[in-house]
Amino acid sequence: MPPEPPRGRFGRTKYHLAVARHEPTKLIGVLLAIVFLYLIVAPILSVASDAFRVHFGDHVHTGQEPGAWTGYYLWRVFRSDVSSILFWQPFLNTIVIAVGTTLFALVVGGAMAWLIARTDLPGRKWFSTALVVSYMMPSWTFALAWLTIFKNRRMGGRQGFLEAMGVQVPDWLAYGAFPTIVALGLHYYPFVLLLFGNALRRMDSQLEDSARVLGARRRTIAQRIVLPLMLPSLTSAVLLIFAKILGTFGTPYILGLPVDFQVMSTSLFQSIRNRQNGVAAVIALVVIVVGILVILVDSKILKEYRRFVTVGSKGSMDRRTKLRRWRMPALGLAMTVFTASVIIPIGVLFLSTIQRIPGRFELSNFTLRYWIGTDLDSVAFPRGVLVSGELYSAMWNSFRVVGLAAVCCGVLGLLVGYVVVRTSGTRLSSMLRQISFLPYLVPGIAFAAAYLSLFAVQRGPVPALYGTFTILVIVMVIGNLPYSSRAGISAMMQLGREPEEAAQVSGAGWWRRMTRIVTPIQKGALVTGIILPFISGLKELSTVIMLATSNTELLTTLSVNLVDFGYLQLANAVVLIIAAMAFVATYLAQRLTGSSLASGLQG
Amino acid sequence: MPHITLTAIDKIYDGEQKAVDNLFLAIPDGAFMCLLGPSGCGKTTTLRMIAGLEQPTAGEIRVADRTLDSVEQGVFVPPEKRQMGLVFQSYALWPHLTVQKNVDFGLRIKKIPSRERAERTEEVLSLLRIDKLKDRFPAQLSGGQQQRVALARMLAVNPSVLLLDEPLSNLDARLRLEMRAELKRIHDRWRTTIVFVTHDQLEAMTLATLVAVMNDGVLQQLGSPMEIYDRPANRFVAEFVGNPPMNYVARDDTSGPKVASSLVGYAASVGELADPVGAVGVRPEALRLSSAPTAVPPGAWHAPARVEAVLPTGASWTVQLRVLDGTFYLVSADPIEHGADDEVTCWTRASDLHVFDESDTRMTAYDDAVTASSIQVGSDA
Amino acid sequence: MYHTHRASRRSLDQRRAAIMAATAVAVLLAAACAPSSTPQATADAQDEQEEQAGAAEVDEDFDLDELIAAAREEGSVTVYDGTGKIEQMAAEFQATYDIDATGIKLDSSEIAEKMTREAEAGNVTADVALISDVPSVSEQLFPQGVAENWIPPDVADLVPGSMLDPLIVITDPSLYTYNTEVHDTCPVGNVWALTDPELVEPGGFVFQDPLGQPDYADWWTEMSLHGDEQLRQSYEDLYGEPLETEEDSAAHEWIKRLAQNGPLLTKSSEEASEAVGAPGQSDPPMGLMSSAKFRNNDDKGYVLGVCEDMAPWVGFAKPKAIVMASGTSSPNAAKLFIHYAMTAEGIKPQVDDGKLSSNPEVPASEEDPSGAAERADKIFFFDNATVSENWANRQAMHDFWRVHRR
Repeated sequence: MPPEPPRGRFGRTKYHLAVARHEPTKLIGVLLAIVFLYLIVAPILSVASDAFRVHFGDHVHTGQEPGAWTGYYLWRVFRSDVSSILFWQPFLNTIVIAVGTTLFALVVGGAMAWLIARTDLPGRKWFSTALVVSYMMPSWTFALAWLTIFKNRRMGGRQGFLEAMGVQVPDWLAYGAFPTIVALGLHYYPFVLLLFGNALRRMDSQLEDSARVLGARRRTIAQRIVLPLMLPSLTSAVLLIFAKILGTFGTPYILGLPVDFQVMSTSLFQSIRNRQNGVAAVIALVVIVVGILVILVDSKILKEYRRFVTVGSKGSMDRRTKLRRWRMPALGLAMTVFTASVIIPIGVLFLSTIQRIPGRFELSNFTLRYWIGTDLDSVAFPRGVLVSGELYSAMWNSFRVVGLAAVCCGVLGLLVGYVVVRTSGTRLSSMLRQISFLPYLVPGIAFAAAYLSLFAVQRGPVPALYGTFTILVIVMVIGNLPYSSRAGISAMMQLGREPEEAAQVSGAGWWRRMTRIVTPIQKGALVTGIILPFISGLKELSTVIMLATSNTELLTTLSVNLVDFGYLQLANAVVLIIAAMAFVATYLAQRLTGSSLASGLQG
Repeated sequence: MPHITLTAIDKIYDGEQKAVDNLFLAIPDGAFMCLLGPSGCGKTTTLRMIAGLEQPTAGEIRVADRTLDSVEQGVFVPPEKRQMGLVFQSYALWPHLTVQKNVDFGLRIKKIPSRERAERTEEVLSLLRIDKLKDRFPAQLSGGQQQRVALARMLAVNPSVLLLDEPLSNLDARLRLEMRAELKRIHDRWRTTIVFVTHDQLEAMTLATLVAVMNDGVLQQLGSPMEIYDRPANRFVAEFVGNPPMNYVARDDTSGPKVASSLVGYAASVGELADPVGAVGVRPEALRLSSAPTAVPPGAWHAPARVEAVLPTGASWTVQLRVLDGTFYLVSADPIEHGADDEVTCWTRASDLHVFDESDTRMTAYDDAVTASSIQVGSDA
Repeated sequence: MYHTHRASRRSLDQRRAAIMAATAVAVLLAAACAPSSTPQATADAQDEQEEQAGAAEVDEDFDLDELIAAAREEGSVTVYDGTGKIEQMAAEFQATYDIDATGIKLDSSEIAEKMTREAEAGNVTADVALISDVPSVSEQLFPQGVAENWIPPDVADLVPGSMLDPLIVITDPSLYTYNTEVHDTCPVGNVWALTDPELVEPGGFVFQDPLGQPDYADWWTEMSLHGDEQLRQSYEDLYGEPLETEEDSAAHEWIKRLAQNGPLLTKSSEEASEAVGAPGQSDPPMGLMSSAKFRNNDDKGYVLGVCEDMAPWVGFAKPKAIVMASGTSSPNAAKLFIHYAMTAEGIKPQVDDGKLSSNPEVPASEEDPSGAAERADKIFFFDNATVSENWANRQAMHDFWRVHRR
């Protein structure tokens, strides 16, 4: 027997240090947590504190000195005479929109996902790519398309399509809650399609079979077997859509104004525009809090159902329901959704780029000059977008900035996923999981303003990044981290720790394990974690202008400037190019890596 | 000289009860050691601690002269530096690499020249008879083939210790038999120390040179398979090892008080024991049947019984018996001539009884007494 | 066993409560330190506020050549504005003076936010800003020491006194408009008619959502302060009897009636111009929109016409201030740009859009399709003297609108 080793706290501490030195997961987790506290939590706290401090110029209303703590903004938003107009009614409307849109997206996306994943629908492979395109366009294009068709005399101006055919379009159909729900639903249903479709595809049809053998009817099977198994993917989709809609501004504002339909984001927008930062901060906080509640509900549901999910991934059989005589009607349905969500918005946008005078359908009015012309009568942009150098330099800039941010984001997301899963069950794990989703809930402009303060000067070890290329990348990375970290978490959850441990036992150190084993296996999730930020980053605007001080022209800023110069045709052409770029990038990434966009949004 | 030593190992997961409790274990060089126990007994945790994938809460792990873990002295050698091999229950093959690259991975990390690597890979692959599959990806392999790749991957680096975590549990019966033979062959050829975790006692009996039975994080018994089988140290081991399980009656059993008191009384008198007997067990293989009490050898324990069912397996016969007021199982290699409801006599030799005290620990005094008396008397061939 | 379990559970709960309390404290502390757009209430800020207040002095010994030379030394200047035309201005400035200039379009509220944060951090990148939210300039940016007023001495005597503090660079006229395809002349000739459902039916008048921007609220306040008499006169002209109102002013009464008459609101001035001016309508609304929108007559075939005889005013002109950042590292280049923006060639890109330079020597643009400059005498202009009232009343004005709009 060897002599009893000396016991003591010192040895124990030394042991833990030795372990930590070789097993950097926790260390990385702590570092990530610190970085996130600084980059995510601090800006949110800064927004929060704005809600309780008197702003400069508001002493007239509050009777307090600027900077003093105050409950004035809370009072104004929640209790004053105008609170019902300012907040409560918009709040109710927001809930209606969010719930309605989510349901709409669930129905449309769910039906499409089922048709594509589990039936013999003709052209389902094509649909699985084509239907996702609607997420690649800015959401306001749907509002634009809607008005083009359904607009009535209430709004004046050019006649709507239906109106021109002599149809009296009622207000509820043209403006307000209903069209907003449909327009946003058509934009966001790809989330359901991706997540739910992926889950359906992975589900073992033996599970269905065994239920059928036990004598269950089809409907019972759907309710008792399929739905509970699909629930995690559904709640994930619901969370992503619901939370995003809370802060969506463009569509509800365009479609809601004619009938005074206000939502929280329009209230927020009006407050920011009028320099009422205190009120804006209160509303932003409400958006964040509602979003957090949704996350909590989601994670509770997930916890209930997680046990099921891992079961039955093996031996899943790719057996499809035969539609038989419903095959053609189903195809018709899918084509309808494709038409409504992709063809019409793109068509409307495209039409606007080939008409000299919008809305005049005469042959002489059609032209391709805004695309390929060389002698436009506009001074600043004399050439069509495809033949002007500005487009290509903006494209290159967008690709550079957004691409770099997206790649960083994907890698960071995988790392978050890695740490969250490896330290699963600890506080660190749940904290990282929750924090990395928070940026999804914070209005971009609030983030940008807070970032400006954070990075304008050197703070401790953090240099003054303001105005640099780096800060643009950072804010894009953080803003889109929710997509990537979700992809990373779900992928790591499915992978389990054993393949990595096998490499470890084989002698591979941490770095080699990450680069040679974990990352290659998680290629699919990495691609998702890069592509989604890429798509949403391409569409991003306000954060970029706020933080970029150089004149780096991106596609979005180019488009906005074109609008400003009144070259709507050119501006819309640029929007189409943004969508095309997103599509090509997605398509190529999927083709080159053989992975699908859906492979890990769930988490 | 013991190769692997575990000294006073504790493992406590956050706030939960001890997964491993004050474990002392010495695994000799070249042993084929099996950690046996029901699921959740701490055997996999122990294996993972040896591999370095988990860290003990207290204690020390050494291989030869090298300390791998010492919580008290603050020494920790990471898994990648331990030069062990570990085969997972799920195989954990790397799906993005071909069979050859899976096997080659560990060698590459050791910076072995490519020629040597190729030779070594070839050698292991052909040893495991999967050299034809080397360009396939894991998803294209059957379960048995994956298992072989997992094994080959670890063997390739020539580990000083090979750790196996329930490697055969996902295979069908035939493949399992084949792989058992394979493992035995590998062990014979390379003389690697193998530590093997299983809940299947048959696997443990057939493969191991040394078995450690664990339950609730506590080592129950350490010994050769035959020691474990012949002289289980306590009730848990006695009941866990053997199939069908040992017939076990405790003195205070309410289900069969008569048969219990008969066996307990018999054991106490034969063993001339001073301490009270708590329970007695007898393996199904050690029970015999006779048509009448007269055919029972003198001195053996016997009791009237009724045959309830006879279950032939082809190679042997299992009989369910009603002995006095208790239910016993009997296994016989010879055909059973009795049918259901036949009244018979059931008997067994004194040396085949396993006697336990009131805390379910084996009473070695009984074994000593019986051994001594059998030598004296010279009976019992 | 059960008891110890309970006890440990309780102690766990206590620990958890303690952790939560500690976290709450930490959050509050962090919130106190977190960067914020609200200033810290310190005596310094107060002092600064007083110092900055009257910073509208005129540089006596001004020499343009010296300024140009000094500006060239500094090398570069960055200018923010709410219109994309700033890019063109910056490019032309660069061509003229050989000083790197960058023009960036950003919303006025975002410019203010950006400048405030930059000033707090002492890292100033926006050297010059053209801000249409004038009250926020004099009520937030000046007193906080974020920005300061600089008046080029050679225009100090030309610009009207009501446009000097802060210096107004242009005013942006919004004009009452009608559809010239359907109507030969403007259907109504009095602003009060817009509030009368018998003269202009609900939805028959369109303009940009007044809550979406401060412009309208400021205009209304200015009107209530300086336009009461004219409004009352017009009322009497239309109805033949004097206005009787319990509201604070005739303007308030007008706003209330306008809100109640259900005008159509749009997200942008562009949409308003479409509603009024798109051809082929049978019953187009009237509107109020920026003069720049008259360009759509050429670009999009719209049929917009100015209601030239609208009483008491054909529209209002929203001022836009030009200021330099207090902490700019290129003060001379900034001054040179301000000087440039006050000249005819400098401000031309914006004047072409129908904006009116505050420098009366800058000629109206021939390209301006609205002809706003010719009607300047019938346009309501703001007075900088009451800019703080605009700021103070903005919220009340919005609430007033909200309440009556219901």
